[in-house]
Amino acid sequence: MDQLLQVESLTVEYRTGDAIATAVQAVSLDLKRGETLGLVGESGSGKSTFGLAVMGLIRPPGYVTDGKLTFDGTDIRSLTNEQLRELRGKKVAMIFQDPMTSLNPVKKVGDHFIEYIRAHDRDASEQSARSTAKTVLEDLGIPASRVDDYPHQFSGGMRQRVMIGLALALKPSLIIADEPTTALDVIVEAQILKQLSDLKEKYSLSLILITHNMGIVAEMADRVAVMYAGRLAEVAPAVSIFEQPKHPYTQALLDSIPNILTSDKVLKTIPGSPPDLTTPPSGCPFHPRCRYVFDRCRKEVPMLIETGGASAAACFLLEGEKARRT
Amino acid sequence: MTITQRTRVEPQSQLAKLMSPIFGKGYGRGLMLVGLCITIFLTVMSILAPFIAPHDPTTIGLGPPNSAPSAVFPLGTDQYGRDMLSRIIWGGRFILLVAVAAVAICLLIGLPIGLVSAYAGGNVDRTVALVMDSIYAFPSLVLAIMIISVFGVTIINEALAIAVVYIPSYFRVVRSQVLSIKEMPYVDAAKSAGAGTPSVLLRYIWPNVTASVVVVATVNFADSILTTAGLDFIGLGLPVTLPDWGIDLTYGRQALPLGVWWTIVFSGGMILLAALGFSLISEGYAERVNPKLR
Amino acid sequence: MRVLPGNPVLLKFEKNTDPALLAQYTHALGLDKPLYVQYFDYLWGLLHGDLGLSMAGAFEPVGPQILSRFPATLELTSYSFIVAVIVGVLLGALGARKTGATDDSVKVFGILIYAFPVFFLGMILQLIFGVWFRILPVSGRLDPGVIPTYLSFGGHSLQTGILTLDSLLSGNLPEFVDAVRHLILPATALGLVISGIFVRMTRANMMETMRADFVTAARARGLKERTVVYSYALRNALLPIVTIMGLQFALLLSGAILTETEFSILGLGSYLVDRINFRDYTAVQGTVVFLALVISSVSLIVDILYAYLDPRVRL
Repeated sequence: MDQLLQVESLTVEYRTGDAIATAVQAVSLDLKRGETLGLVGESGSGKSTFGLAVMGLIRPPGYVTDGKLTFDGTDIRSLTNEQLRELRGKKVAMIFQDPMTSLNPVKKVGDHFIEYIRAHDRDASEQSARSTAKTVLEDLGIPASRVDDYPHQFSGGMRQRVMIGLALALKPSLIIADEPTTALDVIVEAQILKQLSDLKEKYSLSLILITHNMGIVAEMADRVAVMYAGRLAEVAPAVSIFEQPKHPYTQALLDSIPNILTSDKVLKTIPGSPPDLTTPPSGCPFHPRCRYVFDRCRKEVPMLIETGGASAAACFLLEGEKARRT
Repeated sequence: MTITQRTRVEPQSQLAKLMSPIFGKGYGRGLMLVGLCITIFLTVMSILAPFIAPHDPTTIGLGPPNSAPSAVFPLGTDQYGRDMLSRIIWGGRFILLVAVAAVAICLLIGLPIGLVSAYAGGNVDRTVALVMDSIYAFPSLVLAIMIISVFGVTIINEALAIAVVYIPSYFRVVRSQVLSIKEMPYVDAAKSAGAGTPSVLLRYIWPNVTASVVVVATVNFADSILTTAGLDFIGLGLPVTLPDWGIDLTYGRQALPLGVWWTIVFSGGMILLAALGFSLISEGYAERVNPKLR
Repeated sequence: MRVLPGNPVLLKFEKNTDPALLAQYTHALGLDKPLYVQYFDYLWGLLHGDLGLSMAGAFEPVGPQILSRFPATLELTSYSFIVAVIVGVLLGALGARKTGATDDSVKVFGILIYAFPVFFLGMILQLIFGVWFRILPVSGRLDPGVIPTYLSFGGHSLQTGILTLDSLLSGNLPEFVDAVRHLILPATALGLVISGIFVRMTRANMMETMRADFVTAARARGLKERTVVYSYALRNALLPIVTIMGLQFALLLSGAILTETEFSILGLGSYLVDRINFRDYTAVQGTVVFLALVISSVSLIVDILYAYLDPRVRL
């Protein structure tokens, strides 16, 4: 099957005290094998929650209240906890944002691997797990001798590589990388991205790259999905989205990137701030900040409208266009 | 509706900020309310004792000694035939009074020392902190025992002894808050705009310190109650004749092998209730103010 | 690393409240010398391990008295500590993992149990188990008639004074059982009260740790939930608790004073109370100094222990 991951109308709510925050609202996305999907959005857009939901890692006070998740033909939501656990780390793996806090400070790096390998393969001996660990580390450019060191003895970039190694050790088919380079400086970021890219080639991985950095997306992604306030604003192949962004939000995002070639004196920003997810705006969530807003935007929620070339955007502006094309 | 309207923050008065944890919605409210009810009930009971106690708590021989709870004496009688109900109603005064005095002393002394020492910094701060840490590390009861046995047993002395034990707690909490805030950019900004020391202390540091102080103070209350009871138990408490929960607990023990449970259960229970009330307020308040505890 | 607290305060103990007719005692105890001389004499004696002479009647040296009473306290506090830790950590972890009624109960338990005056809890236990049900002893360390035994080899006898240990070492099982039976109620009382702190701290720390990235990352790797909770979350949550162990020990000692008095256990705590009532200042002084020493040592051990447990702090 061509589609590795199919997400239909996923909705995730966080219930805290008296308020319910809808972090992800009716999001549908597909991922082909071998594809890199860039998932973009501001903080609070729901992109990280989406990633966690795919892994089955949403825990109270978060709840997946709607949607169908199909991974490699299996319905994830119908799996038992035990089955989910087996899936995680082996078929789907996740890389987290902050390498400083993603590793257990009291465990040696090697032990992270050993424990993990043996959790999935009860017959694996400590020896073999250890040598696998060493091989993986070497693959990533970390001397095998460091397998007995503790996380605090590594630099941020190296820790992130350890994380990548942990994600890859059992050769999963899908990797979800949640802002893998946000906490790293630019040079290390370039190295990590290159590493990810190489590994993706080498092991034919599919990758969901969650980030707020359009530059990374431009470099790495085949397709891009833009999220805003828990909803999908736009989905398109990477090239299209950069050349012809259809959704006003995407346009504003791209506009706000400072361009060294033009002589912009003023930074363009998007006025206003992201909505409170416990009381989202009526209709289109972006309407309070949209420069093209009209009456309908305030009342109805726009559905994703296809705009040709495997692209779609959720904006009423495009209805006219669609009507024109058909 | 414009963007600015949706994002405006209402200014709150100081009092409102302090009180909102009590009356606002959300976590910890249950704990706090129960705690408040208990403490208010006990305070009122102690204040109104002369009016609500059915008998004189010190009159011996009102009923047969060590008689079980009955219609005449709802809480029974102690070994001298005194009415337990009246003794219980009267019994909280000393303990609560000492607690109030102790907390007052701590606030008066511990807070300023903490604020000033932390703000001043340097060697002065380090020395004071060292002294405070030494006291802090010492078992509170032992310290209290030492002070009381030397200076004698009076309300003031008990309060002082407990206060001495507790001042380091206030000091530490206040100091850590001040130290962390002191380094914050907005303090530097204020100073560079010309704000003097008292102004900085008052307007920036103090508001952030109040929350922690409330928590420490309520815990202080609870521990003071327990320590006073402990001192009673050791023999460093009030004279035996006065009605006091701690005294009743201590001397009620003698009749225990006979199965006389009412003296100790009611007096001990009241001590427990008092300590519990303050502890609940403390935990409830802490929970509301610290999102990590939810 | 730790400063011995309170020495200047002890100076005040040299108040002569003995009636005039004990003037000769005063001289014998050196109390008629100027205060600062007394203080230095005392310190000098300390350095030689001499804690001064008891003021009550017999003039026995205080040191050996303290040492003979200490093991009982050590035994009681140790077992209480074990109870406190086991109850505290398990309940705290439980409360952190679950939400709703279980969590609320754990929270309330932590607050409630710590609000108990420890001797009150002791009394209740005595009442229930000693008077109403008569299944456990309520006072002392051994029943009358049970003779403590100890190891002897060569010409020496090895006796730690810790009854449970001695009886095990010398193979005297009936004594062991009896000692344990006497320890159950006091250790439970003291242990439970102290557990309140552990419950609250463990719960708070765990709740924070459970949200940490490395815990989610561990789950994301497909590790068993049990591994994640204990090996990742709890292990890290407990670390900060170790740092306050020294303070907990001080708390335990305070509680031990009350517990020993309540259960008539002849330990250092009851010794202290005893000597105070006799106005035996030297003995009180000596005990306090000794306790300070013990606390300092425990703090030191705890610091070392922490360095061992947290790889980030290796010496």
